[in-house]
Amino acid sequence: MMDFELNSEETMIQKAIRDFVTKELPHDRVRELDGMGQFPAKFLTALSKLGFLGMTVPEAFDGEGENIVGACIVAEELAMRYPALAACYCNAVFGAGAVLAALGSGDQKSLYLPGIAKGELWMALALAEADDDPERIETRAEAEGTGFLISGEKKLVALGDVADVFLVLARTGKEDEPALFCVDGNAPGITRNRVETLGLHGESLVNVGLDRVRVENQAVLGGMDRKMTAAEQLEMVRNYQLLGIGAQALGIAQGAFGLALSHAKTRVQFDQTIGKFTAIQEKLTDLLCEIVAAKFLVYNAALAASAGRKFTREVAMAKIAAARIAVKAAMDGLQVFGGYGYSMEYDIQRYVRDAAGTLSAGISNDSLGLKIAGLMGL
Amino acid sequence: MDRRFNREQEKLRERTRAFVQKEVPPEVARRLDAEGAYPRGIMAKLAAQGFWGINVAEKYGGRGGGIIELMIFFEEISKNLPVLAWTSGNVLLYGNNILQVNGNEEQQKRFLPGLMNGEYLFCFALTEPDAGSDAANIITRAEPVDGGYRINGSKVFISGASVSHIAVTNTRTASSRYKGITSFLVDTDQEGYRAAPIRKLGYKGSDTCEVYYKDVDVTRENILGGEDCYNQGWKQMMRLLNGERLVLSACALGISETVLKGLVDHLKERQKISRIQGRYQAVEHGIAEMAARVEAGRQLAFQSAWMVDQQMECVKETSMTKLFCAETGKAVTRLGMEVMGRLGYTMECDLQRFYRDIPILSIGGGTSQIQKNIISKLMGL
Repeated sequence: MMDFELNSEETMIQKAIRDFVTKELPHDRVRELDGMGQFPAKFLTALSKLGFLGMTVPEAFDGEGENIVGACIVAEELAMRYPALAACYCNAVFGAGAVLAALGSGDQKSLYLPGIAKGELWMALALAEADDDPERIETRAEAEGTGFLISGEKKLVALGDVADVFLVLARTGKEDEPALFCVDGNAPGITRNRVETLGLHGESLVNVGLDRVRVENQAVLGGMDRKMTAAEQLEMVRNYQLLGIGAQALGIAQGAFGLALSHAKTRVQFDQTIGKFTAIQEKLTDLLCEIVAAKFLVYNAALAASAGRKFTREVAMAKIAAARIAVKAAMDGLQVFGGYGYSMEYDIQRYVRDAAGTLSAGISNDSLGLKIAGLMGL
Repeated sequence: MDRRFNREQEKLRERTRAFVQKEVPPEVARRLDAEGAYPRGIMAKLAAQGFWGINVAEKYGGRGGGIIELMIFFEEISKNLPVLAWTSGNVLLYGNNILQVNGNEEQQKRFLPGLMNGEYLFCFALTEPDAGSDAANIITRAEPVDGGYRINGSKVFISGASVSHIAVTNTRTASSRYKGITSFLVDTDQEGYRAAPIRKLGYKGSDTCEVYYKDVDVTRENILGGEDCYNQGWKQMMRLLNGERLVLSACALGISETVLKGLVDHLKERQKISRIQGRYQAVEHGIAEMAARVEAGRQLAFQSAWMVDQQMECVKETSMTKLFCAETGKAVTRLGMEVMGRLGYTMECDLQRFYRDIPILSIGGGTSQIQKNIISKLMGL
């Protein structure tokens, strides 16, 4: 629909993922999958065989070498058709792969990254609690012997149902910045409770309970001699998470837009296709402007991340804009469909449900707004 | 002008509010939404408590209320479980209101008592696959046969069509776009009538159906308003539109008010815990702005209702009301999703239900685009 100047490698990635979507994910198939709501393991395995899950994993760890922009392209294309699959993909490549490649200790990288690239190991970000304010983290990691005992409750952990490893945010002392720990999903003391959500069915959201879960010192993300502070690590983790959500939201917006556009070209009322009405044209034009604007913001953040620059501000703007346009494109798309859009037999309703997931994923927009304000010196 | 609610109206609001609190607390609303079945139990209770008489003339034993009473009821009944407004429409709007506005005395006498005691449900069948916004484009036809007419065709998005006893069916009886439509009271028990519910995003339990008519025979007496009203269907419908727009606006107001209240409660909790003074000012302002819009919508709605009551020309005003209230409802729920974050996205939170319910209010009863068409036309454009 709207392409940036992609380099030849990126063009190949885009073509490959488009072929995959066309072949493996026809609309009626996705509708059925959404209805079943299961973790789309089969498709993730297929994506890993094509090398897409290794796009944030260095070659030394069986990955394809870092290609953040490429991973965004894949996430965007997947989300156009099947947002829940894109959400799972983003959790794997950004939440797990990119995070560990950037922040993991040598041991953590060799332990987890090959499995992540192959789609055989899932790591879930267990950060949020009652809400997303870092000041409200109450999960505790008490030092004991050669490790820690972690207790607390983490809310709405994506991929939580299938996770082999959790990246858990916990406080080591009352006033300390919370730190990140790699926690074995099968460790004694971990409980998982499924949470049903409006959309993104298959993202396998759970609340995770931790009751004196034992980890060794080397489970601290980056090891005990990590190079960054816990706060810097957390910012990085959040940024990768937000980049994935941004790319995903961008795809949802385009998917919804595409459906509305083709409906406007075929639906006849008052003896003409409704796309001939200038009011509908204006609605679609507005959406297009905002989608392209969001696309610039998302890829601007992706390029900053690829270049190894700090991309906190860029990704915050990208996520806010992309999530908002996702919801708007879905809602306006439904409006273009009229009553049919409200029927579960049409796909636009799924975008309305899934888009809300990106609006609320990661950090709330108001928290992101504060972050941007802070970076502006306010 | 005096637009205060009178004592009877205040009492109706209290009574409806109390009913919702007692019979439809959030956990019940959540269960009914998940089940998605027509809420017969609640409908029976509404009947038993006399709600089905609020807009029936006193001479038929009703309370004689008008548009304001309907709006009060619909606003309150929408607050916890919006679909109850739809199902109530199967009595109050498509039964009581249609019969009193467009039916003849014989039809009123025949059906109003049964509607009031909960025996009858009516649905309104206008929309067709190719006649949505372009409603006058209907092709379901009623052809003259011995002793009456024979109906063939199909309808779509007809709420309550598989549970109703009577389907007020609008048919093509002459080629004239507006003067070739006749409305029939069709007994749904009749052979050839079939209704199949549609699964939808929200308003679950409304029994919104595709309806098929295959050789459904009706007598001349079944013409809404009697034989004189042959080919008068469009004109009859026009008389219903102001009321329909205002009632739908009231539904949007009810939903908006609940969402706003939920947002305020939610933010208060976050404020309590936050250690940063003024942390949520921007969010508070967002909520304040929405509250202002909802209040403006409510003023516009009841101002328009007053005009309806005074029999003043107010098509422009009711169209503005419907446009404004439905779009405001969407904006409010969208803000809710943004503020409540992941919590609002889980199925245990009521916000997700309102977010699913609200989009249909800018579609049904004339889309926002159709309302704008009407408004601009009435402005001379």
